[in-house]
Amino acid sequence: MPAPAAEHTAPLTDAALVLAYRGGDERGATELVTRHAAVLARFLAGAGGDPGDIDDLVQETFIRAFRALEGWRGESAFRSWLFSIASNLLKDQFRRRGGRTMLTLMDDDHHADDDPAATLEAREAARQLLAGLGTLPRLQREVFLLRAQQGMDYEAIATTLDTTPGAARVHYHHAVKRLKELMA
Amino acid sequence: MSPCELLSDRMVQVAAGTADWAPAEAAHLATCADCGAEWRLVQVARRLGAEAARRTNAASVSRQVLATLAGERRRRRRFRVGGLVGLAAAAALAIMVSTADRRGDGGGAGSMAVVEAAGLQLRLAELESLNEAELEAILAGLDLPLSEGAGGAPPALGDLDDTQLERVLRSLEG
Repeated sequence: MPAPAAEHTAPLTDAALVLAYRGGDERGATELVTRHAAVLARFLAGAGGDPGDIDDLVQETFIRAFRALEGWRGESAFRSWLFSIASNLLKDQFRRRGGRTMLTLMDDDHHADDDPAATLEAREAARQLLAGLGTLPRLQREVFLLRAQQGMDYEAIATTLDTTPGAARVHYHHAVKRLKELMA
Repeated sequence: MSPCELLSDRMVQVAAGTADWAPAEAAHLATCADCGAEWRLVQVARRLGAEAARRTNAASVSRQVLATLAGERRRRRRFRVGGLVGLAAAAALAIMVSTADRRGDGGGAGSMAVVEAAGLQLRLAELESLNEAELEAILAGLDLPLSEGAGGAPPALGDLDDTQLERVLRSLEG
């Protein structure tokens, strides 16, 4: 396998890195983790992952993904597939907690700029949003995050969360309506 | 009345920085409370989890993930090798048992040999009653190649001379 990104001008696609890893080149896996770990952490933090467990959840998501690479046929983006696995992990965590969703604001999530008033306002908005997300049904919360935080389209969200694009759109608008009421 | 969703689909692109508001969209956003509230939500959501992302050490995650997977592969290999050794042991055991069985059959054959030997002894006991010339005749017969001797077709009674016929009769009478 040709070496991942570092030795190429054009970065290899996720599919090529998956192929490389399946062929025994661990650099493929390393590059996939480097590409997607931070994004995954953002999603997990917003979707109810315990702040102290985010790294473990990210790790576990990748471990499950690499174990089941045969299951990823490339119809969906590798990142969508990771979100799907992460969503299942959160579901398991949610069950273990007895149905409670914990959403905790991390120190710098509220940071806006050097203006203390703006920072305070941003912090309050983040706190309210997290509180609001905690009250949403899991599917609404995850659809909202995949759309608003990750910028995914409804097709990709539907594939990730095993639903339809139409249903994903409905979930998103329900979530927005509810969050607007809570943050008004 | 359902909320205004005019700019909803465009918000994601603008928030991601891949598009800008068109003047008409910007004008709508400035006056529509629904779109304004959704736009604020999207902007706050974009920042959510930024600290978790910043704290995530991809290199460390990658090392841990690869180490875990390598450990699993080693365990699987060991399990497979263990399985193969087990299979080999089972095969060896099966061969030993089978060989022992055959030896047992051989033992049966041995027993048969004993029976045959016993039969031979019986026959030899009968031979004790024979005189020297008769014994020599039998020994000469035993010396013949198998194709001509015991393994060959038995001679017809009509081919035997008187002495030989008497010997056969005596052996039949015991």
